[in-house]
Amino acid sequence: MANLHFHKKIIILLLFFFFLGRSALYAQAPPPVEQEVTISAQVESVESVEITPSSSSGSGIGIPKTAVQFSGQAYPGATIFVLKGGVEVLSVLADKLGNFSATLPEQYNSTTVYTLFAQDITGNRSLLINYPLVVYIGFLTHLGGIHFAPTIVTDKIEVRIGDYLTAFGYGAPQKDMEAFISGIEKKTFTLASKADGSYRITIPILDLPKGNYTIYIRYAGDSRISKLVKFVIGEANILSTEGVLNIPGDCNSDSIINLVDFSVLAFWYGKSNPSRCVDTNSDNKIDLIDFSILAFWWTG
Amino acid sequence: MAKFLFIFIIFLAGLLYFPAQTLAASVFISTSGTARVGDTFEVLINADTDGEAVNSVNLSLDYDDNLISFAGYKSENTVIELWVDSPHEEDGVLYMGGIIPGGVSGLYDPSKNGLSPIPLARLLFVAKAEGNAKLSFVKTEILKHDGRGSQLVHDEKNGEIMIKSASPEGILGKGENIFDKNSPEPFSLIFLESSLFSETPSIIIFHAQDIDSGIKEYKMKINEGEWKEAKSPQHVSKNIFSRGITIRAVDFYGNFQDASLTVPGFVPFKLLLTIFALLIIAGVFGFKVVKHMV
Repeated sequence: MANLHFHKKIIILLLFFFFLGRSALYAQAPPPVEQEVTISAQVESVESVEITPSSSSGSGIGIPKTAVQFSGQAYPGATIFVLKGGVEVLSVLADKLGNFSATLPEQYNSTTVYTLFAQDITGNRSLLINYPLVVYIGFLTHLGGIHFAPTIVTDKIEVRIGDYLTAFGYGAPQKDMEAFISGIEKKTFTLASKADGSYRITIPILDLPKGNYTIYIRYAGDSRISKLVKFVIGEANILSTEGVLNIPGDCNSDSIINLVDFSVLAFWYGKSNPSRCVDTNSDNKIDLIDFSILAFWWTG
Repeated sequence: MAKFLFIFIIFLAGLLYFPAQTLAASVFISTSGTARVGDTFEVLINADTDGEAVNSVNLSLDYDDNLISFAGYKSENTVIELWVDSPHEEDGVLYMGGIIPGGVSGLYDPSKNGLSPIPLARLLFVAKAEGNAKLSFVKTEILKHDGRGSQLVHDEKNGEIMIKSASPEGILGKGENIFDKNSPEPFSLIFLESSLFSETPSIIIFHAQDIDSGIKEYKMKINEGEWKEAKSPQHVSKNIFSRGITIRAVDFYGNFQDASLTVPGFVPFKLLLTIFALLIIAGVFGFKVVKHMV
């Protein structure tokens, strides 16, 4: 009798895992496309994309509009730029909470790469974010929940041991943030942005060894990071305003990473003894890694 | 017996549950499945990065060149914006490498759940003979968008396409270019002059696009000279006098688009004219002085 009870348990367990496995598999399969139905999908647990059939264009012939709408949160008073195929097509202002919405009319059924970036009220820019988006004719495609990592600037490019490094910038208002220093050693600090979105953190450079470091900011628990800012722990203090910002691959020091910098890098691709400024990871060769670092810093 | 059954249940649970949970990143080849001899067909290279943002790829692809031949690539509906190495064939292997400035983690398709795979490249092939043509990766490299160029660990999934006999229409249209009759898009040239202490010489930068079949090659002509092979960035040495440079972008079907610019010489034209005029004046004046003295 006890043996029969044990077998029942086994059958129940088998059935449980069978349905668990099947439901997990079904979760991967996309739903069928249905016209006239609002379809919504959650992406990265924050950003979501959905389409709704558009109403009449008003032209009287009943052709619906096709448009793409972007919405989310940047920084209070920030300007959000929308680029299509690398060309700026739209810019909007965020409200005092950093919320924004931008709508772009479209014409064709296509997959288009839209690029967004935010510029805070002091002119500092976020990194680019790309959204390759499938646009359906006759539908309003809405990409919501967009958020940009905070902007970041440091007061020094070289810090003397025992002195302080200050990082500051803008993010969404009253958010918990994390600052990461990495180099020979790593350190993490927590901070929060103010009601106007600004933040400032002053870090004592006491127990970190001399060498090259980077600092970046992100919202607590978020995967999207700010620009990486390079700094050196050394013998003297050098203010950021007194030196070149040292953006990897920016050989003409114009603080812009675009086709010109890509081409200079491409000139040195595969050549021996590359110019120091193009060797973004200082490994004495120009390969795909250098292009990847350049693509990370791209401003267009 | 009970212990054995318990282990069996755990194993079965793993088989049923975990395959859906631990899908790794992958790069894979998609084809239409079948094509007819004489057809030009597309092969899509996709990357499923498992939500990880990536910004650079390097791929090499082997294919059955007895059955199919490479005929170009399309830039429409793909994400690679700049080719470090545009798709080209060398000894039966297809090479390509490019970057996505700003990175990308997936394709946002509202009709699908979650992020869809990233369309990296749309390659064009022409079916030559009947058979099952295999396309397989030789080497693939995908780098994360993390500012460090870290490698994305991923699987490779090859593809194949069945080539069937030609349709009557295919035989009639064979040899005629009906696929791409359009010239590449107009493009511009940028002259980047080397500075005194720069290690990079003076270069010309260009980036043409062809929607239908991609750019196959560039050619360069200086003034009225011969066409020579060119590649962006193209090194150009500065001369005493300015020179006219023409770059021709040619697509895979022979259509072309030209762009020109004047590379300034060491001596600006206005300065050269001034010197010439001064020399004439000095000559005339000197002649008069000498004549007066005689």
